[in-house]
Amino acid sequence: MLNKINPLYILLFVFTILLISFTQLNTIKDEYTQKAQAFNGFKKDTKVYTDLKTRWDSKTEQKKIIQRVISSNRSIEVKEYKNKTILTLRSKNNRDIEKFVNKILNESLIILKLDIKPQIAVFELGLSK
Amino acid sequence: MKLTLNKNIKNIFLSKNIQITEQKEQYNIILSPEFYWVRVFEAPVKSKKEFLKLVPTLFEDILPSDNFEYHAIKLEENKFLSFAYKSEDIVSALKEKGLFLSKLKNVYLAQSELIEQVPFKVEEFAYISKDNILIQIPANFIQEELEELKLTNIKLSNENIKLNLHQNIINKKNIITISSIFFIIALINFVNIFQTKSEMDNIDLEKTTIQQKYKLPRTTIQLNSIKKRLIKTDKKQSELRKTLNDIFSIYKRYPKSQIIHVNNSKKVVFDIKNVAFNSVQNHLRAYKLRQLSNKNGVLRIEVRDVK
Repeated sequence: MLNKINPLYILLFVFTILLISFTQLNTIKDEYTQKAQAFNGFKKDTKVYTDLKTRWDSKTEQKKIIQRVISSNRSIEVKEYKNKTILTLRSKNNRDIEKFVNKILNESLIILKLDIKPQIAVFELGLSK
Repeated sequence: MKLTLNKNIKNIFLSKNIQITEQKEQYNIILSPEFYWVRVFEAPVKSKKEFLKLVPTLFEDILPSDNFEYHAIKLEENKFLSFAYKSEDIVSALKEKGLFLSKLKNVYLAQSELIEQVPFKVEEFAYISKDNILIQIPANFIQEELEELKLTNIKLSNENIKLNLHQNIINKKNIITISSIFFIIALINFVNIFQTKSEMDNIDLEKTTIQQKYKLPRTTIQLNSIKKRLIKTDKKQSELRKTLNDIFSIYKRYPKSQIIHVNNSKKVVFDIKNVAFNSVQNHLRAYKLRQLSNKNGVLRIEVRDVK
């Protein structure tokens, strides 16, 4: 049976298979490159997302920080609401006000409002939902 | 020798001078000695397969230098009946006689199929045996009356030969070599395809693991949306701190001053009260703060849109 098939047809057949294999390989390599690039982007996004999430979107983390701020000065008044906390410091010593302001500024707390006037500083801090 | 009876397939004796009627059914060919060289060789090999590797060398001194194909029948230990033939000549003869190659079933040699029937004659030629080799001679060389060859009830052996039916520009060996190389490359490509697909599956798996580990939103759209909101918060809070850091010096310098951050979703806005605009204007310019306005004794500082 095989003897009756022109070997050139076999060559043509194998060549067609070869062409198909190259086409398929190129297609899959392109898909892989795109997927690998997308995955690298995804990993970067994930890192950014997790960093930001921990920094700005963690209610537990923010409550811990607020607790730390409060414990730094016993004169700080605290008013807690569902999605916000108001911290107020009254002091005749401007140095205390400055320290309090700097402390808040150096922490990852979402400052919604602030009002700094002589002898009093009020911060309205947002909490994540 | 194993004999087989071929039913419904016509057997044709092929000689260069014979007239053959048109054949539309499948047929076998029995080649007259004109189409092959035959010789008995002794060689220190056991199998026919091993012997066939030696045959071209053994025929070397007898045959003209050309492309021959070979066939052998083992007679006894180390002794083989050997044949050399040219497919090209046989195919040409078949075409010349008007026989369709597509209907050709098998090709036999008169030596192996008709040796037991000699002497016989076919048209102008007689076929006789000499040293057990079937030879063709003109019929008029034989005095006695010979019987015509009858192929109707002949039982054919398994000793058929293979014809190279296709005479290509590139010879069969090269075609097989090239085809093999192509096939190997194609195979390597398919292995690569398989590996790449496997790597792509690994990426999917790794992505799922990361999503579960960091409790990420299920879709990229959700992830990007939350990320965008968090980036905006980050930028705004950073800008707020940077600006407040700059203007906080006013508070330090002017103890009666008041700094208010006005909650605005798009901009970072500060109002400074109880300070004369002129006295702090240069100070604010030094910090390159943007958009200053002075209205009703309130100095408003607006920092660019935080997107």
